[in-house]
Amino acid sequence: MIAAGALSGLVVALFAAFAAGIGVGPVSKKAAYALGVAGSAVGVLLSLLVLVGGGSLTVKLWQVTPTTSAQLVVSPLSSYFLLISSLVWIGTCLYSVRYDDDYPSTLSSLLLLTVVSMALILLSGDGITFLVGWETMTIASFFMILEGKGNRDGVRNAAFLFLAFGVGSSVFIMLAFAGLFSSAGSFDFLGPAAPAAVGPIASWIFVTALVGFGLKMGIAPFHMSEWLPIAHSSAPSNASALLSATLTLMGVYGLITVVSHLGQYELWWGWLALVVGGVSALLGALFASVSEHTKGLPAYSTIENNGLIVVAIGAYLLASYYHLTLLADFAMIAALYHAFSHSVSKASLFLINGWVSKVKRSFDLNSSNEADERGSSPVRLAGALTVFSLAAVPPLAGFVSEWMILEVLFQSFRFGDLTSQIVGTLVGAVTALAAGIIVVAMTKVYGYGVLWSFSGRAREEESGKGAGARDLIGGSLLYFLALVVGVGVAAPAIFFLASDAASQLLQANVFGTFVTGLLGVPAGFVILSGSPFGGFSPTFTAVFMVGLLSVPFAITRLGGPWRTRRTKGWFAGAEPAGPAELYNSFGYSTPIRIMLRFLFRTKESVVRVGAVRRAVILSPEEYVVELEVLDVFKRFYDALSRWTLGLSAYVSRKAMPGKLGVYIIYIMLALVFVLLYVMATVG
Amino acid sequence: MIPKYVERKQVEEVGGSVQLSSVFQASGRSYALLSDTANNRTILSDLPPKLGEEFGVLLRGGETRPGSPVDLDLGGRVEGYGVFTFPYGPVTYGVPEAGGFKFVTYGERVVKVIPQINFKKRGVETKVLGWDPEDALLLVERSAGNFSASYSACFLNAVEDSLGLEVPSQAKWTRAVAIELERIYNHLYAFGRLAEAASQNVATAQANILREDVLRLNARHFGHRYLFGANRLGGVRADISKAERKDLSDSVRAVVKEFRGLVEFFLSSRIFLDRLQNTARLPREEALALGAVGPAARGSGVQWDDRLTYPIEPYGDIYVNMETDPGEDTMARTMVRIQEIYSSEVILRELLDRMPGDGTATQAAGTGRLNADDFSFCRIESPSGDLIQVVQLDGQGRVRSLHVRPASLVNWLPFARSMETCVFTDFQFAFESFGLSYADSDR
Repeated sequence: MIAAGALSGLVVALFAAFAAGIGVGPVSKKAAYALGVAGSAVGVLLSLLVLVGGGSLTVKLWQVTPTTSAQLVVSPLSSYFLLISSLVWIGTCLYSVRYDDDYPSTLSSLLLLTVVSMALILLSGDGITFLVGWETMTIASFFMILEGKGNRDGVRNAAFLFLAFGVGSSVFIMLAFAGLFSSAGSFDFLGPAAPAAVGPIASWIFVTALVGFGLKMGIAPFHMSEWLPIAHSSAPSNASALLSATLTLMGVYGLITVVSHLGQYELWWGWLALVVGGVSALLGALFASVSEHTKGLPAYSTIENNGLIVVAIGAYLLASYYHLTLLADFAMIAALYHAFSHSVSKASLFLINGWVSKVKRSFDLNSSNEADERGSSPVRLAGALTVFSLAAVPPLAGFVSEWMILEVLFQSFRFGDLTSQIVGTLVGAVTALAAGIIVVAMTKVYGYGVLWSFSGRAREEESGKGAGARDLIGGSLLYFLALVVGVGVAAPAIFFLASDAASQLLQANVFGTFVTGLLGVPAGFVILSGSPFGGFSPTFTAVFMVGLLSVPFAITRLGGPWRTRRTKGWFAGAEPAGPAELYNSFGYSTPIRIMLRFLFRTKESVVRVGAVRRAVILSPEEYVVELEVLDVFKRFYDALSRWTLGLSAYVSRKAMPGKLGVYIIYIMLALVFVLLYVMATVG
Repeated sequence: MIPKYVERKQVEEVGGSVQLSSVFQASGRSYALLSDTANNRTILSDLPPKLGEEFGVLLRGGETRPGSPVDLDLGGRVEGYGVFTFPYGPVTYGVPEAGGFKFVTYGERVVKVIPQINFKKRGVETKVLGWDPEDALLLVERSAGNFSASYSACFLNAVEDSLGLEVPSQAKWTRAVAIELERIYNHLYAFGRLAEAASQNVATAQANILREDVLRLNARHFGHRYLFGANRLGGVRADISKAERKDLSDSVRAVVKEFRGLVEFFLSSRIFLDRLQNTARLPREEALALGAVGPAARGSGVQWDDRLTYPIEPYGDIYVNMETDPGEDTMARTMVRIQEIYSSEVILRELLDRMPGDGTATQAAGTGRLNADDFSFCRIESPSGDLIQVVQLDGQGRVRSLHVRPASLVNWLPFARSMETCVFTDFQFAFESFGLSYADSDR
């Protein structure tokens, strides 16, 4: 056990560093980000101490009512999420120091404000503090998105869309919290010691929480408005990374926390979560594969990954319902592990794509702009491994997590009833399909983003400042590279942390159950997915792969009787006349648009204007925001917003006609009501 | 000298049912050959003042400089988000010869195709100038190897006209036998390629076996698998005896009988038919306006077949059925080819049955040499369609000018138009159904 004093000191240091960072932001961006890195480092230290050392900490800030207090709680579960977030924040702050050059210096304050509100969410022990953090996060993010570059109207729309969905999510979270409050009798229901809710109210809490946190995670059917891709892609890239990697992580944290405070699970919760998660994963992957926006594409991939996390949570609920302890434990660890792997990979991808958009001067993957400079090797290497991880290439983090989730769903046959078995199996198939389709998106982002360079000419460096910028950006990307590789290769270590985090939820530390040795692989390096079921050792797969790859590498490097011949690529026997004769990124995914036209509402037409033919695919307004907005649900949301505006206009006309007499009547009525209320309560 | 089925008149405008077939120069004057598809007449006219899109192709395709690719562009820039040009060829899978395409596309969907020809340009027309017709024949019949019987018959007919040579009927009938055999094996080849494109491997192999059978018949009766050297000035090389004629007739009947079985299987394969139906549609008006010929035109319902509309001997004396199909798609063109295999068998049997016995070579020297400023021409229905050659001889009987208008050349634009709105994977079906050959169009 770590001394409570030390932990309290770290909590204070964390908030102090961030607060100081926010303060100095407008004056010195560098100092702000340095303080951000410092605060995040404290966060890493704090969470590691709690996870490895065990124990938890509760700090009462303010006793509001006899039953409710504002309090901070450092529990293993929140520490785990704090660890993920802090690791992402460190890299994002490092990257921002140079990336931010084109943006106002207040962006650093807004960024740190978002960060500190996330820390507040993770460390809050009561619903009120949580909501304060949640709202602060939403509002700070709203202002960050407003700083985005590109089409001004598009950015403003994106920011307000984000705000609208943020408020919608808050409403549902408040409803869920109301349910928790009615069951616990206090707002202090987020700490590990809070009692669990049971009965019909639990279903209410689960559904409202799934909707509320699901809105923030962008999962189906709320992703259908595509608020998440639009908002995340319109923001500055460092903000996008923060939004997509850690803001949606808050949704995951909230959902798991609420689930941990429900006493008894219903069967249909599992079905609901599985279906919602599976559909989100598939649609996220499909939309990612046809996106042409350097940041819209990763944002869609975020939906896919959050869908996978919800799938794992659904499997956990079903397995728990049937008391399949082993399977439930593994599913929960899979959800936690996937949250880790996705956050680091996605932050890395956003930062890489931010750099790509900057040197290509376009958010359009399809653009044939000559890149200002070729990707330096850190960018290309980090890009490759990040993309590999998100496309689930072993032994990287994305593969391990997707393997775990699929292993859980493969064991659907263990569920106790036929419907669950069928749902589990079908969702397993959908998940596997999503994992396959996302490969299209990831190869596209790598080929047309990171590696893009038509002529291959590297421009001369313009100034020493530019070189410094690349160094720091490259450094932050190398940091993420290490994280992406580390989380995958050192999966057993992450397992150790996740087992600690889930120990309260699962009522046991399950590390020993799942991590053992097998077939000559030493103990502590093989992950088992059940008994008896699959097993995998990322560490030794990595060792094996590196060993195999190093042989040809060594041979080509050391030289020998082999000569390396370099030739131009075969281009059907002719030379390409220019970028317009290269297969572009849009063409790469058009087959999907055409094959799944019922889903994407693809329309194709060729209009002849004189001698010119205009080939139009999809509706023209999509490319105004440089992002495809094409689906049926958007019409629903559009209609909803029209109705709401109409209704409010009607009400305001009728109830607020601008006549003094009517307002005086309102005041009188209010007075009478207050008097009656006071008389009733006092009397 | 103008044959009786050619009308000499001045045409002012091309359009409607009148197709521009060829444009050539003789003794400094420009002429146009036109096909009046409504009245089944060939019209020889001075160059009409108003010409359509296909005119440019006839001229550009005639460029003789070898090694410089020519883009056959239907005109019109393509704009739009994501639109790019996808070069396909000159050396690539799917096109069995050196020739290219530029697909204008936003991926998968073909917005426009620009065929690139002239990679195989050998300049036959300029090379033979000043040669004796016998020598020139060797080059002409090899310029498109799988159409050699048509090429040599067309060239020789024009030359013999110029020289006023009386060619015995047996020789002319034998030339027709070679032409029909050539049609059968080429159509079998096209059928096999279509089956291959649909991954119908058994059907492909079957079609290739039948094609090989016909090639061996060629070798047995004409001395060459691809009928090189079968025809010569004033006659033919092969004197097919009565027994051999019976044998040839029976063999062809056996091949076509087997092919009928194959077609039955083909017509019951939904997968195969799906790939052909509604693929690469060429409406009748486009076929006429862009100058499509051969099975490509007849598959769009255009009534033109040189065997009926330009009936050189022996086609005037025997029964020939015009095989057309109103379907306008790849399926229709395929059905036209299949029917033509059947009708070629009938024609062959009649040719072999009723073949006159008046010898295989001309006995007399030419009767009347033409004026050197005169020219003569011939049209032959080659397997891919109407082949036109215009020959001018000088005072010594040597080639003064040669103009070849191959079928493939005029079929490029109809092909390009039909590919619009298709997807990439339709390419091979469209290509093979048009029977396009780079060797033929580039010559």
